[in-house]
Amino acid sequence: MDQKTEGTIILVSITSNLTDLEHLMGKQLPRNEDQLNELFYSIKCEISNLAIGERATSSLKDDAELQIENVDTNRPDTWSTEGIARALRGILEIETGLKKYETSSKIATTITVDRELKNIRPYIACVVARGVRMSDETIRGVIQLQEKLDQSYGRKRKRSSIGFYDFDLISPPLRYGIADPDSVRFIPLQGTEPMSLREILQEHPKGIEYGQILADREKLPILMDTKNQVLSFPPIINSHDLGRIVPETRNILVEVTGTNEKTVLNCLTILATTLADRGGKLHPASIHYEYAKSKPVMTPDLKSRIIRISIQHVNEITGLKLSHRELSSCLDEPALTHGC
Amino acid sequence: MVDLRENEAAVMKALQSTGGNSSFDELISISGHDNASATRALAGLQERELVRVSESDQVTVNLTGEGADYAKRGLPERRLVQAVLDLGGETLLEQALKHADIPPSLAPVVLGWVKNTHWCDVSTQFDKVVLKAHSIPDKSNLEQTLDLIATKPGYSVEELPANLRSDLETLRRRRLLVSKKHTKRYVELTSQGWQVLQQGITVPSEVSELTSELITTHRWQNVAFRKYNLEAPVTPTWPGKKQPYRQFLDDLKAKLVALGFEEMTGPTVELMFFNCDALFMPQDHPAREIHDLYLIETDRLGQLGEYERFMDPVAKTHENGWKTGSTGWGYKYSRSEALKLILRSQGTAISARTLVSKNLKIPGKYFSVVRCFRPDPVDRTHLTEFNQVEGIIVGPNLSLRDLLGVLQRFAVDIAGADKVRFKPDYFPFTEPSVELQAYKKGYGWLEFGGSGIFRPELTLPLGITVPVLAWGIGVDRLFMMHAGLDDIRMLFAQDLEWIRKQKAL
Repeated sequence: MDQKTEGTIILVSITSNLTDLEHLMGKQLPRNEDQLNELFYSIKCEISNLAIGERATSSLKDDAELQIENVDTNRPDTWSTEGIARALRGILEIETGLKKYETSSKIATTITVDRELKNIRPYIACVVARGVRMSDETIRGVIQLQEKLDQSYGRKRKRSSIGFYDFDLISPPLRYGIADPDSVRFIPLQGTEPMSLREILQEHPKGIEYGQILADREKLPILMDTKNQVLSFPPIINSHDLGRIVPETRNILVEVTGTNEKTVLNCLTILATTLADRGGKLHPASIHYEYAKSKPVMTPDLKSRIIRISIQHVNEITGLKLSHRELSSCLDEPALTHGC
Repeated sequence: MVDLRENEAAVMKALQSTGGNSSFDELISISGHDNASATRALAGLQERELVRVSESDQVTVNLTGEGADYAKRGLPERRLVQAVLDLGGETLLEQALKHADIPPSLAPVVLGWVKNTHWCDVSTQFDKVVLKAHSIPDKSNLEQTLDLIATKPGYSVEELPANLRSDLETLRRRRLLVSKKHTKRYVELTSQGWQVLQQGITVPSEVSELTSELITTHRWQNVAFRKYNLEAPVTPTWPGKKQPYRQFLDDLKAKLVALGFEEMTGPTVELMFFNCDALFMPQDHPAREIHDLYLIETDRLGQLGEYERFMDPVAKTHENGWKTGSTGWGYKYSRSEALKLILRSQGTAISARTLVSKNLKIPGKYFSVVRCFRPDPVDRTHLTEFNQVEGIIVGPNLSLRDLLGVLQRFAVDIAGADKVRFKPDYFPFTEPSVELQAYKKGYGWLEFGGSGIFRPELTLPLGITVPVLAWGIGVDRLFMMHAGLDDIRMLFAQDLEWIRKQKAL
């Protein structure tokens, strides 16, 4: 695993293709390694396959693979090529301010959440991205983002875990319910035969790796559609039949389940905006919690939050003398993602 | 008859008694002269071509701590194979590692060795590494070599069977042993030397010390003074001094005190509360997991005592931001997690203690040079313990600009850097955060450490309403640069040779 902790500092390392990054940014980047690193510093990233201060004259090939170390654990929205492109567009003033993402008014699916999940894995969030166009390489990038979010932000899937599905194979509405360990069988990813949940926990590598999260549970979480097809056994493994994304896949359903509502919603926001950057039109899901009396929750939640801050305070902390205009232009630069 | 000095005559006679051929060590014991005197005698004799001195090198080896551990418990690759067999002959890599008590960080290395020795079949199923083993492998040459060397300290390479010599190199590369070269000197009488002995040796009386008596009686005019050979080698003397790293840290402290900083201290066994919670690190932060901290093996929890009143605001800040304007981390705070006892893993724990101390002065400047502990596989850049220089400046009207000034001063005046630059960074305790990079000729740009202004989520629950500038610098690296070391293990090595040869200042 390439997430490493240096004391309190967690570095999230991702691989990006320079051409793909430039395509997302709509702008050529410097080919000089030093200049490129200088630019990445400003978004708290470092290109680790380029050493600092050395080889100032060497220049990069067009399709260079960049190993990017992201030091800001509070910005999981930049743990992908798409996210880095978004942040760099802000810094380079190609597109400033909070980036606007639209969701369709048409709900893609409803999900009913079983009341017994309240004490097992209570939260789910979901979006359907229609019309996505991805290559093998960009799919790998999205899977990489999913892995980073699951491992680091999602605390090895304990706090949150993510699943992708081909929406065209699914019959909504969905039910996020519970099942006995032996009552449901499905073919898990990387498997060939249907397995029961108990067998998955005992024999499947992901079951062995993450089974601890569900230790001693008599009822296990399960995500199914209206035809009783299993999408996923969260947070362990997805279905082999429904949970595979290939370049031909156009309509992708993303779901995030977890124990921390904020983390679950933030993960979905990051994935939704990432798929929107790859051409997807976002269709929301309506979540009905049986254990809560509140109204259904619509996800993704792309609302922004207002934080009040005085100019005087900013100037005191920075030791600068920024005017109202200068300060607001600084805030516009690092295009923050909604909800994060 | 040939005139020789007293020590020269003694050495010649000693050599004669051994048949004209002797090692230097033997010569010292027969002649009755000490190392320095015998060395001077040989220099004189060599000049007159009465003796010939030759040198030959002898190499001895000693196991490192890791090597000694493997000699006792077996090489990790053997333990891994044994674990695979114990678990039924086929198992996942992770399970075998766990069973064999091998830290996961060693996995790639150990896997390399079992592949190399063909002791296990290694395959990948799904995305997991699966190991298969059939029988207990015979003892390899490498293991035989390790066993032999473990029999005694200072094992001489010449004693090792020739077919095992190449394994020695492998052990050295795996850092399981260190070798040491000793130079042995041999002395031989020349034919001229034999002639002189046959002719007989006289030792004319010579004066080696000018006394007041010689001067007042004017006898100095009539005596023969011994000539000194100023170029003759002498045995080095090692005056007493502090361990060089200790000296460096003491100097560092003195410099910080001179800049007006007061030293702050704290316990080595620390509460999770001060080490993490009070620093706004969420309780499920990856760096708080068992493989990143040393937990004290006890069921008992620590106590906050007089600091109890800070727990509630800290807990609320984690849960929902309390009065800090933050949204917090959004989870249920656990009191017992906060009271766990650990070995301090970061110097900032001491800064947190200082902020809640009754003796805190505002404005005030504080520093500490502290030992911190983290489980890390030991290699040339990592130890399980390390030193940090931590500093805080507390006071009204402090800004990022002030912090950059302090850091520059530290890097240039104290650490001897030529120039500095700053990089935006992220740390859980500070906002804004800055990484200090310093340039030193011959080393290039180096990452020195992190710094920033403590977040309100940290200061407000501890009752601090003024800005706190904070920095933490890995001082081990600073000393390595100072002493020209490229292996961090030298800092705590019990290598007297190296310690003796370090400059005292």
